[in-house]
Amino acid sequence: MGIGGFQIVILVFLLFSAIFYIILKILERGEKSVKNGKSKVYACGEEMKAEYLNIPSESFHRILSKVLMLEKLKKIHSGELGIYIGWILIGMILIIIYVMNVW
Amino acid sequence: MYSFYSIPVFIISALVIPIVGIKKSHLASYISLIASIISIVFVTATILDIMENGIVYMQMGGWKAPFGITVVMDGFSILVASITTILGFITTLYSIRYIKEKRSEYYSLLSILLAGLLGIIHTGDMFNLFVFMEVASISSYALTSFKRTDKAFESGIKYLIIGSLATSLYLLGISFLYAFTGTLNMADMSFKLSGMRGYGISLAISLILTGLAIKIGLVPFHTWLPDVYTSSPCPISAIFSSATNISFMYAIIRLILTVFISSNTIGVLILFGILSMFVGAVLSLLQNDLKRLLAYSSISQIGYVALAFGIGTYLGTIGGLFHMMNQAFIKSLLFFSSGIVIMSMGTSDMRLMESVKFDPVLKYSFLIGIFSLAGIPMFSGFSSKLIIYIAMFRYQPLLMVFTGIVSAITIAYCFKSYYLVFLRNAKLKPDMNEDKLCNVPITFKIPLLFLAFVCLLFGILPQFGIEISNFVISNFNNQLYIKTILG
Repeated sequence: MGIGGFQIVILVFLLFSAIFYIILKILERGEKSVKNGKSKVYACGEEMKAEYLNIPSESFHRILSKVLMLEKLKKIHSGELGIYIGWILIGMILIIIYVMNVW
Repeated sequence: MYSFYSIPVFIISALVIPIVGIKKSHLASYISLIASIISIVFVTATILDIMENGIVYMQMGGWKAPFGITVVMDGFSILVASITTILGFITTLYSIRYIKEKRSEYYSLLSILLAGLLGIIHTGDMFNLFVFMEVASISSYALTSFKRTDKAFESGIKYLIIGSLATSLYLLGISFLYAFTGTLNMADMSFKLSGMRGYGISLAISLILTGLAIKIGLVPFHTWLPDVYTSSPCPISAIFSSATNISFMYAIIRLILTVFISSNTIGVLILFGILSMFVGAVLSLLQNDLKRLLAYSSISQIGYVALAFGIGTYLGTIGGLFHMMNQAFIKSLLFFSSGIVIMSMGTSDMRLMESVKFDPVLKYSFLIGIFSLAGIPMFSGFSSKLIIYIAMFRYQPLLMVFTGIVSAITIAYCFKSYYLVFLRNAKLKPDMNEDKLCNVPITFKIPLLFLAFVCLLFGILPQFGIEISNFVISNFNNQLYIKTILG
């Protein structure tokens, strides 16, 4: 990709950002009318109240952590020095195996 | 070679600061600033020398290679030295208002750290590299525990044990290599190793690479890093994640591409790069502590650099080098901004951060850092990541897909941090507490503005970064290196 390609990508990005900003503003008008009670939102055949329309980001991250089983990764980072050195030993063995094969 | 004299300048500054600090501790920061400015001048003079001559070197004590200690600089080393000295200056400037107690100790240790890092970059000798690694490491352990809280002491002790293990493994490796080759000079060792094979040599190289990988913080050697970055004062976390990281990255790349060139040892960086990218990004997403999030992010981003160098292609190397440069500035910007936020809020837990009206310089500097880290077009991270994506695609398209997934996770935790710190309370409490105005003094603003400017410069005009990387790579010639030093 030439140097000029970067500038083209930036321009395309700015253009799409402008388009999405306009779409966002149009949608915000719709959101205001829902909050004012002037229009209603239906989801899964039921009427949704305005306060249930936003998903808090913390819940999103919690669900993501559960689905990807990321809590198990946290257990390996428990703060215990013995576990830390264990990981170093595993890494060293991997390096030794690799270098023995290529050198 | 003028840049080498930066090392004694910092060592002298480290000795003078405690003496002057007995009566006038406020002068400590100014002595450190002067030392940083002198080092920048020396490094600039060496840049001009290298642009003319390619490689410059000096034999300590007049002893010719391979017997004496060689100090050598080429395009790669001067680039890393420039970034280290600039960030050293900015960190010293930022610390003026940040560090209010025990100034003499702080600036003295910071000077020793910078001397150690510059020594790592300058040396052409394996044992000398160990000596400067120890100099940098010992000051790092002390700086980690600077706050003297229980957490800081615990992190410092863990760092001491793991860091000592790393340097011990490195020393063991070079002692084996010395037994096999009879030399510690990098150029001479490269020449002698090219004809040698055996399990003993493989083991020695593995120990050296393990020691350096621990120092960089590649997964699975990374476990010390989040604790250390979280417990250190913010300017120290900034210099750890930028100058220290790139100096040790420089050391491992130098050894692999100069000393161990006769085999494909660089491929080892692919596995650890992939692991670091994924584990670092995923764990960043789980964090609620701002500094810990940035620490795991550092692991992830250094994984990008390791992977880019590991694939061994020209484009990958350019991308890796450019990304290494970018990350040094981006991480410094984010840690400096976080430091001000944490000082104002009194906590680093993003969930507990309350409504404060932030100075626009702070808010937009953090935003520029976040956008650069996320790889948004128009910011520096995008330029280097795009080159890495293209390099990955040409090498192995699956790697590009993986890199894209990690980038998506990076965007998620970047916006999470900005939302929780700056936007969430703005939405919940639209009437800001005018009394709680987060004022940013000038000694904080200058580093933030400079680093934000660099992030924008390399984003809007990436040709500067690409040309610098291109110059470094095209002048990286192993045969010329050996011939210049050994004659």
